Amino acid sequence: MSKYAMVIKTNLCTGCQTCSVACKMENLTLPGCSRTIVREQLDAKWEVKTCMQCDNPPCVSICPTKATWKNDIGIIVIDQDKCIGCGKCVSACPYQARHINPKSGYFKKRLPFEEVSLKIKENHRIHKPTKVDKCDFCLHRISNNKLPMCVEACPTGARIFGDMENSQSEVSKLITKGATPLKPELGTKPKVFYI
Amino acid sequence: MDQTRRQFLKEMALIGSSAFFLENFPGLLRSATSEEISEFGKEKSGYTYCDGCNHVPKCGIVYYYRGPVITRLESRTDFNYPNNILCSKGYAQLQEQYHPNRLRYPLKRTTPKGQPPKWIRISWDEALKTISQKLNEIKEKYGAHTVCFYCGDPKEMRPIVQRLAFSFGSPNYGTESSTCFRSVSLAGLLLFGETTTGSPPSKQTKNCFIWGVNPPYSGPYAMKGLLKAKASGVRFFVIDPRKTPTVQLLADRHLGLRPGTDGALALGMMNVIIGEELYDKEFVSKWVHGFEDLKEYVKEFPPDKVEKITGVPQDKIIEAARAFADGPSTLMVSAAPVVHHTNGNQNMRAVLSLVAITGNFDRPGGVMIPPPPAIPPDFLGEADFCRRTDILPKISKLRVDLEEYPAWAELIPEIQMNHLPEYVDQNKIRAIVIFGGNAKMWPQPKLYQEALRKMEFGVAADYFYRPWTHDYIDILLPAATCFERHASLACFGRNIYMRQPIKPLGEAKEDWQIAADIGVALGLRQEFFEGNLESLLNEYIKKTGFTIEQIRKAPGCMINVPLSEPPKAKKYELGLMRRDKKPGFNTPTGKVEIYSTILKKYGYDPLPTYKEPIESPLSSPEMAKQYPFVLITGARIPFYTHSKWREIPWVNELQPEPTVNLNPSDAKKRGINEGDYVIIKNPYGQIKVRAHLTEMVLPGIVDMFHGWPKQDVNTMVPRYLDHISGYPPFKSTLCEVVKVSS
Repeated sequence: MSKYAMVIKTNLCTGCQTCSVACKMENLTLPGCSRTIVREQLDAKWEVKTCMQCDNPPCVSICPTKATWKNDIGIIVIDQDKCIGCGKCVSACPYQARHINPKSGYFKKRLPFEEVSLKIKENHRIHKPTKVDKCDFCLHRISNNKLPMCVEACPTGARIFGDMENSQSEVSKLITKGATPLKPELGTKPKVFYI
Repeated sequence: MDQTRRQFLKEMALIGSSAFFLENFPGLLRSATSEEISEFGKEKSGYTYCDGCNHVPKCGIVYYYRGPVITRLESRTDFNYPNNILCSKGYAQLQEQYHPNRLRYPLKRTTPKGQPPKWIRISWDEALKTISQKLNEIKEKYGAHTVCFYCGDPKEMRPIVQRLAFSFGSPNYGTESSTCFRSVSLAGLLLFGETTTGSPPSKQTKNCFIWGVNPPYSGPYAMKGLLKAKASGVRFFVIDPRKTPTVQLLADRHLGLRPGTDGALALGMMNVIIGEELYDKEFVSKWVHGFEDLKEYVKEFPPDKVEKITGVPQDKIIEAARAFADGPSTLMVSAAPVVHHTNGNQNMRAVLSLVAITGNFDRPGGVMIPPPPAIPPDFLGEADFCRRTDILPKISKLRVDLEEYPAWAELIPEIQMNHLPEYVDQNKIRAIVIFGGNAKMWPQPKLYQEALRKMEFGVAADYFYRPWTHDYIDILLPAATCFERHASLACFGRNIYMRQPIKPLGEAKEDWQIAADIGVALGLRQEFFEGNLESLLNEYIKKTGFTIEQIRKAPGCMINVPLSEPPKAKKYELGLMRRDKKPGFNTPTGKVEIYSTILKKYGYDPLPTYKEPIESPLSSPEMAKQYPFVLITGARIPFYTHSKWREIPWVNELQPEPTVNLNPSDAKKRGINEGDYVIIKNPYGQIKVRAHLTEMVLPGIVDMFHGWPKQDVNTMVPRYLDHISGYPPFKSTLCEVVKVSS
């Protein structure tokens, strides 16, 4: 079975925020909720954060309603209907990758494309108030053989996505070459690696 | 398709049956029923190109829609622009498209100008009738030339607005390019008889000089090409007062100069190149006018002195100079940074002169002049269609900028707008027709708002009601977005693309249609083909031999207009630069005029002389004691273009309020921490914003983004205008930053 991973070449990140906005447009996350964050550091380099899709995810074990789990291709998913919004997973995540949806959207009325997504039940674009949300590597896209939106959109090719079980994949090669996860000492075994 | 995507597809071990996904993707367990989906119909797609930045890249977009609603956007992969890729602005347009505040109907103000405006909805008929009556009245009373036609952003309507202005009888057509692209263009025209902003590196390029450009933020589509060039061994020199992402990703050498000293740096490099006899002797002796004068003049700029002026260490200046001469070397400049100074045009001429004396002009690997595109870019427009060839020459003596900017007026077919307040006060301009204008884009914006207020009549077309501009005009028209308009076309090299627009929201109309309708209402029925847009566009592309219908029906809405002969280098040797087909350059002497006969004719300094910015630590040391920082305004940030996109929450979240960027060392001296409120001040004004500490800004420099309606840094920019170009010092005035003690 495949195990999906992302490698982020931070040396190629320009802070252009294309990934952040492309993700918003693709997933219609709610105000203040970003599935990927690009933040400037003092030395004018960029910190890129997203859900690490940990192999040993602290957010899963802590969930009291089993609303979040690791699926067969290693992606951590959330069932909004089972989620009670208690926020335990949000605090348990050492990477601050989870957020609780606010009660309202960007405008008083939903915009037409939000309305359409709701009516045709495009679930990746529907975010229920007070439920937890986070990145899922654009599961709806990779299931259609498309790259996650942030990977697709990056103007400098700073994000690489693929199957880390396949030793020939670019991500595998980069991991072998020394791409490292954040906070490996926690034993969470993230599947997002950095160069 | 880029490499990553291709590789990914190859690597992708298909995950198995859809049943697998039903179990592993909770969303899919509750898919919509087919009835629910069929209410909107199947997902379909259409083509457009982007409105996000400056309408030069026009990056290709595939939009997806269900029923009448656009639901998502993707980058168009079969688009001809190199590495076509949307940026944050491109994707954010989906939220703009359906923004609840978009203008949907024509509006008329009911209160006199000067009082708080009240607006009522009117019909297009009433709007066009009022506009045409007012303009014809003013034409009759004072002459057509007292009506100004102005294009801000976008640039796509410029061809038809020129046709409208000139056929109405006014040569006073102006654009925002009179603070942007046109000064670089003027420098190139004076020097080479040709406009150039340089070239990206090509196969033969050895060194690439990126001079004051930051492509990751101003043109992300260029990045993959530049990174590829770097990987293949091109050496990059980046000249910039900031440690931009361009410096971080590409630079082998960063020359961090003080803003406004570009001319001195270029002259210093030429001092080395000429002193060490590294210049291209053959090119110079054959094709350069004024080399001996330049040789004499650059003696005043030895590297040690230039180090003191620019702040760039002399060994770096010498190294860069030698590299430039050890070509092929190319140069990339952009529209704004070098020319936004009081000596900006001459500084730009000095920088471009480097290309000339090293023989890198139109040389493979150097700065190439590309073959003519199938149709000219919108910001210029096709000359015959625009009526620049027949009508304009007859009426250009009525231009309002002849006295103030004669060299500009001779070479640039649009007026210098920066003097608008003076034109209005002198009754030279009495009415204005605006497409996408912003009264706050100029220094001391109140003067420009007042100028609009004082006019007898003003009309503007826009996407949104923007009070800082529209409160000073009489009629406001709703403009269609890039998803809703046909015009203009996109052209890359010899390929022409068309859009597949959807129906506009409300009664919004595309700019070309608005201009055509105004033309018809003014009585110019034939000139504007009775308002038939398709006929106008056919007229526009007449010379290509194609029709709009042919492009519309072509695969990908794209046609290729083949070149009659293959592109050639060194066109000046082949008689391909001049209108009379003789070898040489399209200048009065037929040579590269480092000594400009046109500037001489109008009493300007004919050599690319260096003068300090009027306000600088060297030229106004007393002022610099009180205001020690050099203030840069107008540098791009990635998700806003000038004042655009401020309505869009997706990008507003990334920067909810204005910040001033300063170096951590400068901040520390003033006790300023990240996020503190500070006041930036100088003799012209002050604004209160949050501080952002970043090493992207070198010490001694303060960088403040423009276009914020409230904290408007343009209030702090003086109106000392470059005598040649009329450009304000957007990037070299002085200021101090103090922490607000709360």
